[in-house]
Amino acid sequence: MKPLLEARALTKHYEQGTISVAAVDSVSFSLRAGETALIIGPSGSGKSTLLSMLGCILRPTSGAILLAGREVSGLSDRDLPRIRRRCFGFVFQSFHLFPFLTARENVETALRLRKVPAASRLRQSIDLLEDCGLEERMEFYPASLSGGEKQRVAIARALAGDPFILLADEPTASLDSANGDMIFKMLRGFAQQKGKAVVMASHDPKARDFADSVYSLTDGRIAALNA
Amino acid sequence: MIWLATRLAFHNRARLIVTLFGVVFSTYLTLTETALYIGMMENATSIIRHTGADLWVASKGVQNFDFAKPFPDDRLKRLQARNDLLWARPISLSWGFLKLPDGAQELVEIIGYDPAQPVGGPWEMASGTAADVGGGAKMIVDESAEQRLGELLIGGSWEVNDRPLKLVGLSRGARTFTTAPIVFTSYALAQEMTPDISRRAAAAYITIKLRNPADAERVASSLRRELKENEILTTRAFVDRTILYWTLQTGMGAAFCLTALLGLVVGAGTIGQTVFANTMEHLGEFATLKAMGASPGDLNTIILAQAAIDAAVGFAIAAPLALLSRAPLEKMGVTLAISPWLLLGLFCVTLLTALAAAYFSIRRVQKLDPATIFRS
Repeated sequence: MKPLLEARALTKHYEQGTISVAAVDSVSFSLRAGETALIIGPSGSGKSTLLSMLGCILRPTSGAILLAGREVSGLSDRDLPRIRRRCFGFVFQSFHLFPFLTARENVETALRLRKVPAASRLRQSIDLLEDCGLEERMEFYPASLSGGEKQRVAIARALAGDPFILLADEPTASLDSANGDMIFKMLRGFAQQKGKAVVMASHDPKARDFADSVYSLTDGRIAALNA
Repeated sequence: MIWLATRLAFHNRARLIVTLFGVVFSTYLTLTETALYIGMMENATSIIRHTGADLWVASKGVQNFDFAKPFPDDRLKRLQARNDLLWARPISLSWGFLKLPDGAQELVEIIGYDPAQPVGGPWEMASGTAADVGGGAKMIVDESAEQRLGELLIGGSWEVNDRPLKLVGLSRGARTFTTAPIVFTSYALAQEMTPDISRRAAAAYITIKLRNPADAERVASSLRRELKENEILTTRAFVDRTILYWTLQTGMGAAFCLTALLGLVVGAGTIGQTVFANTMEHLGEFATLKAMGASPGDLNTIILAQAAIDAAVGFAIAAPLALLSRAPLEKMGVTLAISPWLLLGLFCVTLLTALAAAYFSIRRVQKLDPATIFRS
């Protein structure tokens, strides 16, 4: 079985005056359907840069990203949004929900971006929120939701449109321990039950319990801890 | 994405109300200024447009309808002898004073026409007919003059240039640019009433109807050769010349244009500022959308739709307000010419201005790096 996501010698350099700094330096790893990978590392180690590149948001300086065996890092700026829409779901540390939309509408936004017809949009968003245990909170605005609920809405939104890779950046950093566990469990569950590949970047030591493979990123260089 | 734009636009109600206040004010200003200008130009050219003539014979250098220099009307016979003309009719125009019941004098524009073939006379009557001015010292006054002259009773007598005239009819919609009331009378009487004897047997204009209106340019060229002391104009050219005179020579056009433009700029500024403030406030959401795979087209649609919503709602409030202002302004003698075409045209201009005002927001979002979402 081909990996769903593969990074080959992924490198990102930033110019700081005359000096070139490597934020990510020749990172290679792969991930299959149903697997959850955890990237750990101190602040500034390049985790966010790596996730941005894996999610086709940031172009690598060199190296390649393959999605289901297809090289995508060289695609045009016009094609990359389409790849992100189709292939990725994103979960962020600060949730980044739309404050002027209800939980259901937040999920619907992702479906609208994917041009899902109105009839199935409502059904799908309700189903996703129910899967995340939010059946009672669908018509609530983010301001009325707890941190854990907000992150569950964000996960439901990330799952909308059935992407095959979930990228989660510090998904539990703004949550208490109980909610953090719930979110990790949920991400791992979706990977296993729905056959998604999940990449998490986290400081949370508990995250290791929910990952199939753990990578350490230090000064942009990756090392597999238990892959 | 228009759905998202609508939610975004209506999310901050206070900001929306402030924006709408600015847009309504500026749109109202633009709309009324434009309607006022068109109304004035319609008044200035109303008689020209309602004669049904194809060509006009005027004195050389005529600049607008109201300031005519009379010329001998014996040319009428020469014109009537031509085969290519269906008819030729004289119109006289002079200025006089109408004595009010309290003894005060009101400046009036006296238009004389042939009552048997009333070209140049009133085209719409509130009372009586255009032919009623024939056979005696009779006149028709426009009903809009009532506020200047007092109650206009049919059969009443008024002194014009010290000559008593019987009011036999009331016209409707006949106004001048100068707002001086129009007194319609017979061509013969108008000539008698002219204080300047040298101007008797003189016409201000001769109007011509062609057998074949498509021949207008050819006949006009032929008439220019024949009547060298006169100017021959098509009706369209005379309308344009009159409009140009009042617009450019008086500086009125620049004043109206500047005010209308100012309205558009204020509206564009208000919308641009609001959309930009909304964009800056929601940069995080725009970055999220970008990360989620929103295309540049999706993001542009969200921003442009917000500007369009502000413009459309503002216009939807301003237009009825302008229409409501029409009746009270008419009573004050001010014509607001608000046609469906004007509303449509100004709506398009308002919309385009609003969309252009969203430019800086679009640029800001296009430059937005979605990777920032991972760092916040």
